[in-house]
Amino acid sequence: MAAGKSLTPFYIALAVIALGGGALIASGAFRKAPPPLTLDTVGPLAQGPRGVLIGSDSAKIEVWEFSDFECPYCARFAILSMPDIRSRLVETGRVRWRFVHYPLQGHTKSPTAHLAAACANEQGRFWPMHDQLYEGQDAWTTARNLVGALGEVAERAGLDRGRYDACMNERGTAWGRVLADKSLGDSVGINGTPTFFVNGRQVPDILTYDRLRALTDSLAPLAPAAPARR
Amino acid sequence: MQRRMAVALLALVGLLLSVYLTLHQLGMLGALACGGSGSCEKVQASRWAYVAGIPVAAFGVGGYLAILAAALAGLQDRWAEQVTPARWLVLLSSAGVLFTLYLMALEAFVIHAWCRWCLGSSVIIGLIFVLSVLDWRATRAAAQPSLSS
Repeated sequence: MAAGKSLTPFYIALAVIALGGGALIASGAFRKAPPPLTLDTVGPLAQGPRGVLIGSDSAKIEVWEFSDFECPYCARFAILSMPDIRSRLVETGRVRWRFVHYPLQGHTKSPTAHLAAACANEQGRFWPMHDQLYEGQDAWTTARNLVGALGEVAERAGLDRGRYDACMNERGTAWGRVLADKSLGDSVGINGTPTFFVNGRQVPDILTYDRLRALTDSLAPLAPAAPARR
Repeated sequence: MQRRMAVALLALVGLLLSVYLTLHQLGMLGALACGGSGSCEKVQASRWAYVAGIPVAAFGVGGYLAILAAALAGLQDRWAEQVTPARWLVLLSSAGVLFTLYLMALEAFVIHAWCRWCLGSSVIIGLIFVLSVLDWRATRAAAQPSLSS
């Protein structure tokens, strides 16, 4: 058969599909792939209170935790100590807890994880996301596709995936909150995570439930109530 | 001839789709366009999205490239009336269908999420398989009289 002649329209159709599809993929690659999030990624610093707060306004003790989602010591604290602290001290009204985002320099995946947590906070699901991020730390920190792995974490934390994806792509207010928290940590000289402040005083080591319970017992009668900062 | 053209066109579409998914798995694209359901991300981020460290979609790239090459070869004068390209197309598309069935079973019973791009690829490989079988039967039937003479 005269292949050269009769196949020409077919080859043209093939070329059109190849070029069109290639262009679509390329445009997706250029448009949809924002540069990797780093601590140098600029954003509007969020105004208002820092950190994410749980606990009663009337609690006499307020703990500030500066923490990094990629930090293994933070994960150990979150998994081993925080559940007891939350159920026995925070939920009983004795302690108010403030989680402050402090992604460390050198932890390249941490900024994206903190953004994911801040996006979860916009849906009122920060603490479920916090727990899932620390419990699944090994998985998402070693994932080839960080954004995809964090999306899976978000689903396990019960987030609305559409809103979460939009927040992650926008990097707006949520990223501003992370940057504002980081800025606060820098200003008070945080040089490792997790770092704790109990009623404004830095704790020289990692908190445990027993230690905080003892601190609570000793500080409560002496210290004035920490001002509620909602 | 028209069946092989259709196979080539479908293989090209499948190839583009596989490239899209592979680039995503390699972290070179943002969120997949998946209607905001997150199912695609769930499938793509699962541990079954890799076989021996290679993204599953990359196998699709290789498979569709091979099918495209076989279909284009089968359109050339030298091969147009031959059964060999049809056999290759049946062989390759059979492997693709089996691999696709395995992936669909994972989505249905293990991951519990459906990726619409993967479903699109399933439809494409299914059509390619049907067209390849029809092409193989037609070319074989056309070749039989000359064999018996």
